[in-house]
Amino acid sequence: MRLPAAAENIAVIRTEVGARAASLGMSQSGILDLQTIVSEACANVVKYAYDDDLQGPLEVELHPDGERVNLYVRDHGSGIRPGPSSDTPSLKLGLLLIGALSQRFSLSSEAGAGTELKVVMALDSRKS
Amino acid sequence: MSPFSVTERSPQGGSRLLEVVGELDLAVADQLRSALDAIPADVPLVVIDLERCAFLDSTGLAVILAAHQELEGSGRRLVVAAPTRQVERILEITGLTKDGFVLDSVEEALAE
Repeated sequence: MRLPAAAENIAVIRTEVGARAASLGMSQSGILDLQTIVSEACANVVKYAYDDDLQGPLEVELHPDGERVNLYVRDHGSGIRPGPSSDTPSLKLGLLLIGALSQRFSLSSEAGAGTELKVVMALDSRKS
Repeated sequence: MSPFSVTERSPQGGSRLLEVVGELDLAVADQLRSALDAIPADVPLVVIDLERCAFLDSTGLAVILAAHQELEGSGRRLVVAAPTRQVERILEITGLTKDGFVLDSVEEALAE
């Protein structure tokens, strides 16, 4: 899905991702964790990806991969830059939660070309 | 999904109870912040009731923690009560379920 990077769209994305994960057979506890992860990732895009309140695109994809799912959250903003906005308590908490709730995650960013977060989770949380 | 709301009540002993309903995320965290900022400085105990809070993210948690830090700094108390499943998981991961910050019920929290 592709929506403007606006705070009010994050709940919509949580619902859609939850429904998609349920259709793939993800456990209920896994769905709750996935919704937390996607919410944190989307919030980071809304807060940091675009300058001057520009609501650039926020892209979210969820793909099955055997006994796992791959979540992608993508923006086309300015890329991750060091500075005051990259050192907030909320950002640190958000990344802590993403790391704690996923099997693994990776972040790729290119100046001026956006950022992509990839998160891998088990469909069955007992196997994570 | 219930629309987000924060309702303030004054149960007893000069304390304040904030009932959070719905999903507390980036879009609505300012509403909780405003409710916390409106509490008079002489209120000794603030309880945030999370029984009907279906979701909590780091933005909402940051608002709660900032208020907790402010109240504790002035000798007052802020606790959260009755977290739902997702909320409790977030509080556990962030190490906040220790030290009496999270209570199982509003009644237990108001007895603090």
